[in-house]
Amino acid sequence: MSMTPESWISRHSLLPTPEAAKRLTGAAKDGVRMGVLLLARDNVATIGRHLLLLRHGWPGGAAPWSEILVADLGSSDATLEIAREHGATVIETTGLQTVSGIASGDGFVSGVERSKSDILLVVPASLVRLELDPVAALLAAMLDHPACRIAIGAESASGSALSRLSLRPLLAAVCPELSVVSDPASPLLAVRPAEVKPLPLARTEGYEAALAVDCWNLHGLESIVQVLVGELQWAGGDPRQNPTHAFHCQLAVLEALRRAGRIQVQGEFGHILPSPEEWTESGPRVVSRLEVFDWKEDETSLKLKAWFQEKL
Amino acid sequence: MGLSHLEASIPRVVAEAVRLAEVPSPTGSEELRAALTCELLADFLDSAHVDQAGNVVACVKGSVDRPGTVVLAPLDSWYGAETTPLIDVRADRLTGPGIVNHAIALSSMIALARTLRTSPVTGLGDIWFVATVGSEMAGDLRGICHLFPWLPTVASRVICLQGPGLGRLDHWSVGTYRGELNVYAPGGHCWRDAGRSSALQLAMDFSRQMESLPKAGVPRTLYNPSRLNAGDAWNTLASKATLQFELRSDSEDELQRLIIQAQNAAQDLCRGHAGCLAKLEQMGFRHATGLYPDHALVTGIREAQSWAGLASKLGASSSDASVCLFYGVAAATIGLCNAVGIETQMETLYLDSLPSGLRQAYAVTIQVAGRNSTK
Repeated sequence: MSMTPESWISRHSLLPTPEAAKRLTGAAKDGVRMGVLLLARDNVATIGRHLLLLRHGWPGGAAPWSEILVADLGSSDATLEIAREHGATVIETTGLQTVSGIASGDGFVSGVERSKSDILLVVPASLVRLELDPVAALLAAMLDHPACRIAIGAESASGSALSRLSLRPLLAAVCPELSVVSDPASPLLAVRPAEVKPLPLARTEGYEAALAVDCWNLHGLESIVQVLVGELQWAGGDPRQNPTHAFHCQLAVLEALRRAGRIQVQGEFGHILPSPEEWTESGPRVVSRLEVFDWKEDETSLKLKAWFQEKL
Repeated sequence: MGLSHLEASIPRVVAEAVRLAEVPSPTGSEELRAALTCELLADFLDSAHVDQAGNVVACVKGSVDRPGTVVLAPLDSWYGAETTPLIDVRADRLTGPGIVNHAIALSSMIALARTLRTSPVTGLGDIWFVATVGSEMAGDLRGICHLFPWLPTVASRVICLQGPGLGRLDHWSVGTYRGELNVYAPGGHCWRDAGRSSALQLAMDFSRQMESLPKAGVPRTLYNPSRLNAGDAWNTLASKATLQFELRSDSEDELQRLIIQAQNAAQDLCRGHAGCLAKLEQMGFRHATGLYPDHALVTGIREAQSWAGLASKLGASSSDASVCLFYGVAAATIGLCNAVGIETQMETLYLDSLPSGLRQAYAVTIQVAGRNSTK
């Protein structure tokens, strides 16, 4: 029987704990294969730091990784060279090369196909900081919830701007069960590669929220867990504020909702999507140009906020 | 065996330095970095704890009954609360505020403790590892002062680790007086009230007087006006001026002589200036004292540095060692790496110098803890 949103909040919305990192080291010794996949495009300023901390700065000393993968999204600087120097396996991502490079969804698909891990941490290499305790908590959440396919790293109880102002209103309208997910657009996540490989993965920017919708559609809410990881800081700005990224993300979610039978619209969605300039913090939410409605935080959302507030 | 363990752990030393550096730790707000330091030490030392002053203290028990040794590294950083430290990691260097002063010293201290715990060396006394709060001048050495009178009961030698200066061996504490002169005047309009005194002019008079005092070249002595805040508007006579300055000397006598002259100059500054007042306050102080080059601690460290392939550069500095020396405990400061841009946002540590620095720190610790025979 599928979980109710209320029971999901109390059992699948988690905060980082300091002992998670050491538990992972123990689990790795017991044979659980854990890997990390960095999605990198011209990240010469940050990738060395991430790889150094992931390999050698792990709390307790022994990092749990059985593999460290770097999926190249079309780097033209020394990013890949640095990755190799730090002992990472570089994956030449196959996908459509655009002016801005290869989409993160392509990198994710290539990484998941290549991975031999039981649990794979996915990290955009353009993050300025990578806090190890929240990262460990994401993986520990997967260990503790064997039915989970995906662990989402939520920036806050309300989520990032893309989640808060576009995706959550959309999900609340057409798929209320998923409105409990604080930050469906978070790019910091953990997955079980063997379980997500068969899903219809979006090979675009902003593939993450569609992945969550597909997991829910096929395996129910119990296949998702979220961990409050705190604000993500980006080198060169949050890519989710980029109109193209936001457009692709919304498009992927709409396609996933159509697969789930929650949207009946025939044809393409592109022409009905709002751009980030149309998002507002208050007043009516433009979910699509066909549908404008008042967004009020529903009871479930409020319970979610209260849950995190109480735990914090 | 211990040395190869230490050398193999260099990537971990670097990673932990980055983790420590990215926890902001301005003087007076060292709690978070202290907690991380304590957590890293507690992984392998049950004795690790934070004391009442905020210092982190841990002990690797020795195998013989001989006086103990203390290895120190500062917890605080030179920057203020407005800085959010972020370290740029490259193959050959680390760049960012606080990575050299003093995150690398902290992570090296932790690595030394881990090595001596996991690969014990016979014949050593107890070795205490202490990360101190308040080592920068604004902290007025609060952390190390708190360790007295306890420290001499457990150890008779202190090795202070600092980031910059591979081969550095500071055996002398530079005497330092940090003063703040506040001058108050009636103010007024520069044209209409011409003839009244200006607080800014008076502060500058004081600075000129201090500058013109004869100072010894040997022992080295100097006056440094470091900051002047004054004035209200373009067309007004400054009603308040604040001058911050330092007096430094290798000689305690010279330093005391200059301090008295500064106090006299401040007292006389407003004589004949109606409605003006000058107040001099001491903001920090370190005694001028030290060990002579033939002291056993200095010669021992020189031997160890030589073994590590480094030429010792004897010198003087102002650090936690100053307090130990003042209380009669032999102390010296060594540097761990080559670095540039110290105490700037672009502080840079060159990683190729770190293996020698760590080898030296290990050898110095073994040398001092193994030979230490005087209470």
